[in-house]
Amino acid sequence: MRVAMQGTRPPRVLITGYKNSEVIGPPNDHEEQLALVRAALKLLMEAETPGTVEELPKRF
Amino acid sequence: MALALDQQRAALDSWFARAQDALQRHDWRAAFAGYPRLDLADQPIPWAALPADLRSARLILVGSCGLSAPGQPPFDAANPYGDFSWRPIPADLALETTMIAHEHYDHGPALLDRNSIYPLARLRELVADGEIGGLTPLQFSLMGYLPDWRIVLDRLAPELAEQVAGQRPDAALLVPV
Repeated sequence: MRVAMQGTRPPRVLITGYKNSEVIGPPNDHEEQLALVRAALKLLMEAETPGTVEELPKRF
Repeated sequence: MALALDQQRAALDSWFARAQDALQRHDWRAAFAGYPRLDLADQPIPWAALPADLRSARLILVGSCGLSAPGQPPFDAANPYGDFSWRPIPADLALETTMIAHEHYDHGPALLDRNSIYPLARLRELVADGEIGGLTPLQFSLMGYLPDWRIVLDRLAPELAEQVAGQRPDAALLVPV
């Protein structure tokens, strides 16, 4: 999953991006979905510059 | 380097003229050959401060998966020119009651579990656990097949941004599908 900060004012915005309509987490895999959401939110909070892009590991 | 915006708009005009027939046939491969995507790489990106701690931040979720809540009209998913409306989604809505209208992605995972495309229940759990300060009363959904990005730029984005800002979130999570 590719995530990118596209800050605006306010709020700050994080876009979780997918290639070819990947999903945020496998259906009914509660822990994996939570892990991906937490990873996205971590970037949302910690990014220091607009346009920050990070590849999150795809584990499914 | 990105083309000037007026040149990009002109390129989209030309594409629509070429793609009309293929769009009407729903022949996406033919229609979107040479599609001029909007390039805003040269545009400045404003930056917003955040609360120091996610535990005091209020989030809003915006997804382009085409969800609508019970009682709301579904998106016009069959329209080859897109549907530039949006739906407010109450933060406490049971996701399994939502309808999906979007012809441009595989609904398989989403029909099993809406959180795979719109992780609202996961965010509610993080709020309940104290990891996030809260969610705004309303979240938003749109249908992400929006080939005329001029309408997105000129109307949809500013109007939806106003709705989002009206919920007074500290941060927004956008989930394109």
